[in-house]
Amino acid sequence: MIKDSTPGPVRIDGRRLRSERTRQLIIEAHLALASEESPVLPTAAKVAERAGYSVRSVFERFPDLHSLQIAAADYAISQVVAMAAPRDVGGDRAGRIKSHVSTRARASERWLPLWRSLVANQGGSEELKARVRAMRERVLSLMEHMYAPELSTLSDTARKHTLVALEAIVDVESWARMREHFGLSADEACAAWAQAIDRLLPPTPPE
Amino acid sequence: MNVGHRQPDSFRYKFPADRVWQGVYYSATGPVTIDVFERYLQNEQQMDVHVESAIGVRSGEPALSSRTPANPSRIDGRRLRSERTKQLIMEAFLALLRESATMPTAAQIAERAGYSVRSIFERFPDLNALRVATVDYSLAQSAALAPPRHVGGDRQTRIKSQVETRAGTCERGVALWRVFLHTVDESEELKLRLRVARQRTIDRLEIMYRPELATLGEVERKYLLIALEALTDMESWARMREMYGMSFEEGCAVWIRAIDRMLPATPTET
Repeated sequence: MIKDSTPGPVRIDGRRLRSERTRQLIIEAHLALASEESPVLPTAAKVAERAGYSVRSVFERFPDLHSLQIAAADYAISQVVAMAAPRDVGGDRAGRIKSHVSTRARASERWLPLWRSLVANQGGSEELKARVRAMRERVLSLMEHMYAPELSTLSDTARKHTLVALEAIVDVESWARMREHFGLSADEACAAWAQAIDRLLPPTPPE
Repeated sequence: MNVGHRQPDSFRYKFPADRVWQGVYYSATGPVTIDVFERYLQNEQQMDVHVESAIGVRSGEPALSSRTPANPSRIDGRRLRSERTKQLIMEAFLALLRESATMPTAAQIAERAGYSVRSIFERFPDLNALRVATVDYSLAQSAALAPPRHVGGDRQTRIKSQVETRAGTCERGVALWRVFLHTVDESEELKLRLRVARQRTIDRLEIMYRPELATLGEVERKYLLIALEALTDMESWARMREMYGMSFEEGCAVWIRAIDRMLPATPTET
């Protein structure tokens, strides 16, 4: 007898779906509070209150606050990565610089408090340190991609040095200083970054 | 040129013209007197400070404890001892920060300095006062031990000199800097000192690269100074050393290459 291989209707496990939704709301509550009170981390009671659940619900889904912090960091990082996807990679030099700067500026403006919280609260957590490092490496790799024509004209050492210098210039805290300490508008701060990158990069080779 | 906020005049890094200033350091072997000959030209943009020492003072050694008038006629031994205790407490605080990068407790500081907790609170009303005093102490240290050198040199000499001086300051100061940044929102006094420290970096860059910066328009010059400040930030140095695993020399090479690329051409002297 031939068995009917037609797939049956997909069953949705409502309980699991609700649990995932609760987990997500707890993460979002943690991120909202961490951003508002950066760099102070929220307590479990505050997270529970903001999410609209009991403290017990929080610890049913996360064994401790550190696990919640890691899950929240992963969620935030996935959002930053989605937001900061490289664009205009094949454009001319000025177009690539403009695109990179505006993307980086938007991400810095939006994620500054959470980034500060993450960096300040790494403490002895190897998991959090790994995430900070991964974010920095991602910034380097993005710039390597965006400025491939210019960087290809340099030796390995010069390329590495140039990328490290670029990373320092477009660091989130560099953005924060321009905005908070030097009082630049977002457009002015973008112009400062664009000028610095243009000066730092070697000439673009002819195609 | 000033970029951004200006701190009150009382906190400006300012030296009277042609004044000889004498400071006392306490090294491991006892007090060391150092003469600092300061020549500060009136327009504030041609500062040229030379540190000279009768006894060799290495950059890692303890720093200046207090400003005293040149050739003091009497030395108050009790006050000197009290100042020395204060300095040892601050040194203990700095040593603990370098080891753990977290704010130590009063008991830990007292134990490291070899005094009682009471001795600390006799000299500092609370830990924030100790933190503020230690920041002042470090600012004075970097001002005295890392003056601008080779201001009149050629482009490569000035870049190398500025980079090595800044790298030395970062190497010595990053542990305190991190605690400083982490706690700065708790204290208006610390906020003020943060502005002073950043402005001092900008001032230094402006002094060292005056010939090149003079060729730029005002906005372009301002943006370049801001970018150079970001490039040579304490955390930028710390990342090169800790995350990218670079040696001191390699870190300097990164900064030298970047500054040389970012600065406009040096104008020819007429």
